[in-house]
Amino acid sequence: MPFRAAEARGQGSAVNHSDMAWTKRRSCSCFVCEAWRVQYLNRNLPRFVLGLGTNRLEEALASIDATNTANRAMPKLERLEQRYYLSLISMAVIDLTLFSIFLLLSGKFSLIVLRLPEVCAFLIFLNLIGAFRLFRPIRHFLLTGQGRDAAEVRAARLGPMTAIWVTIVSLLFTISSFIITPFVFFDVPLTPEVAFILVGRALTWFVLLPYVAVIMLQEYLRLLRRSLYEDYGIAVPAGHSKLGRKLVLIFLGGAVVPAVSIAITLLMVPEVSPISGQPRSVVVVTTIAGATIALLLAFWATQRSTSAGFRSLLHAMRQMRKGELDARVVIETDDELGRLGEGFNALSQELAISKAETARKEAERAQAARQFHEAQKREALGRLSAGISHDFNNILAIIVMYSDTVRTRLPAGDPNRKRLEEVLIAAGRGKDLISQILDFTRDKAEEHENFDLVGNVRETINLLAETVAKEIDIAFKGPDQTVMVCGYPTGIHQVVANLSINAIHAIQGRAARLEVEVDVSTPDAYKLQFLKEKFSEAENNTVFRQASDGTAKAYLGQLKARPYGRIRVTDNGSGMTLTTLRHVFDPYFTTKPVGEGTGLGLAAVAGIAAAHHGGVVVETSERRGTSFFVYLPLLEEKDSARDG
Amino acid sequence: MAKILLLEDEAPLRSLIAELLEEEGHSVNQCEDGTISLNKEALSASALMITDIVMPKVDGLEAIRRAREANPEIKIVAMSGGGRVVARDYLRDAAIFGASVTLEKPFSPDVIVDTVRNLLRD
Repeated sequence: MPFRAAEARGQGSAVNHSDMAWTKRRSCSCFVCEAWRVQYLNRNLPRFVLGLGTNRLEEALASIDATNTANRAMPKLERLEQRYYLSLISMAVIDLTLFSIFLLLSGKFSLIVLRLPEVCAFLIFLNLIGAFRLFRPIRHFLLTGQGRDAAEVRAARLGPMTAIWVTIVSLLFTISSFIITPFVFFDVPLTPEVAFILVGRALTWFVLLPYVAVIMLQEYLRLLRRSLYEDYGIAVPAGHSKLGRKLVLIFLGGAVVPAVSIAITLLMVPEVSPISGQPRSVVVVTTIAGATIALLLAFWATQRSTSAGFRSLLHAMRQMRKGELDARVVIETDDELGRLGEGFNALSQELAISKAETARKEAERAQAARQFHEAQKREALGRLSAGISHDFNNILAIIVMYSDTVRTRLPAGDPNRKRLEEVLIAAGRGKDLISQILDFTRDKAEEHENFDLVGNVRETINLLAETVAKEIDIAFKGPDQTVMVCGYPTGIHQVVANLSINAIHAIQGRAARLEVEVDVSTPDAYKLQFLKEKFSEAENNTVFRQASDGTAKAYLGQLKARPYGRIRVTDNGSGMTLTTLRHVFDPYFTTKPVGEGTGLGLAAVAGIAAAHHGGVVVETSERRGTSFFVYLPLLEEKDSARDG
Repeated sequence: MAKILLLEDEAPLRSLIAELLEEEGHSVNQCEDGTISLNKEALSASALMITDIVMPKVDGLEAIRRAREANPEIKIVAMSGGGRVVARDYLRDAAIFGASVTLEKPFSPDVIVDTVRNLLRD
């Protein structure tokens, strides 16, 4: 019945057209029939004859898939809808049951047929029409997959709306069957006494019938919520009702109202009912029976839903403890338990997100550490090879020099000459071998190239921050644009690493803080002029001086008044005196063991800066710590043009 | 003929090179590290300096720099077996610092003798 009604409205409900005649199907405009037509033609005609073009065909095939989904939904839909109606039919069942009890006790069971018309008219027919209309948005969604939001809203409100509806139906029914029918059809005398009794009866039934219907409805709504969640992923939000309030209503409706009704019956109604001619005990028993059934149903339903709610929550928690973070609670009721479930779901979602975030950060950190370890290993290998090669080359030098000296001083025919030649050949092979090893481990990027200073320094700082600088604070500041220089990227890595590690060693035992900054700076022309005179008297192209505020300064290499890329490394140590500063560029190392230090220390920094035709400036004071400034000439237009 | 400064920490090598050069008639001042470069008179008095790079106390690059400053005319020969702790081509640095010629160890005796001869001839 419902389907044809939908079709009549021209909505093209997409189900069950398969029993439609082919003539009708050919002209039906719903998408299922369209898909069916395409599929039919596709099977029976070569594709190119169809002249549909692949786009239309793909659309059609997609809609066939939609149909299949819709078809699968059908049995589910039918079951959901039927259970809804069944829960409401409980009103009719209860009424007939109680009436039967009354009639059985009175011995007039055949009179049941008098009740049937009204029960059918109101409690079945009218009831279901209203219910059908109430269910419509949900049905529409389940059939077509559209109107998800409307369905969700309706599902949340279905309980209260249906409750109101069954109350209306019950009102009409009780008025009709307890008040109108007896007077109109059964010649009941119209006395105040009778009226009073009938109204009392009506009120009791008026409360009892919706009471039972709503209880059954609650059970049904749990099923609906569960179905919508499990099959369609719709989490109908828990409402605002309170379990306590429900229990109060259950008590009122199931115990208080019947008790009041019984009391009134005992007080007001005479021994024998003027309406039915039955002893009033029969009425009382019927009322008690009704109340008992209703109360039992209510407690059963409440107990079921509460248990189920707790069970679901416990199950989800158990799953989460096992580590399955996508455990979710199905929200079956609209009271506190439902809200508890919602809260739990939100919590587990947060947990899952934060765990994923942690895992991601962990992975990033591991990756950075791995990369740095790789770089360190290569560097260690390089250092090892370097150490070996240096000593080895010295040893070879001794072998070669002495052997060759002896060889050249032997007489021409002496066989020992030839033997010493073999020695020299072997030494030559040794040299080649060492050369190869060195080439293999040397960083290939020791080539002269154009690169971005900011990116280079940032790389070094990132690597240092991940590993060496756990205990210290390194802050990097750089401009947003690139600062292009021409030179040796590895050399600059070494410069920054050297300066940073030196600073760290210098600030031992304190909360070390390092600032590294890259910017573009043009040395002041006046200052350069002032320094020029100093340079002319200076040794090694280095000027040392003490500024008026007590800061000790050193200038290595003469700069020009043009823009340079500048690296600044500042530490928060206690600075150096001028005397110390003078010695800080003296190289330090031990010749024998391979190992600690970066070889020639700050001399290497000075050398690398010189190799770039730049310079180094040091400013140090007790108050402000020590700052190293490394100046590197910027890549100029003509330079890039020359190289490019 | 000429006063030559020889800076090399590896003793056998140092004594052999000194002998070879003395056979050529030069006067060789042997040093086991670069501290001689702090002595400006010694630098000014020498016509040629042969120096290793990796040495204790004062290294070769430092020595070359100081020598260049003290005596712009001095001829400088730098030799090296490669980086000790880092794989660095110090001979390139040496050239930048002012070495006239760079030699990679090991080399044969003729090489050093010929180099010295050619440098002093100019």
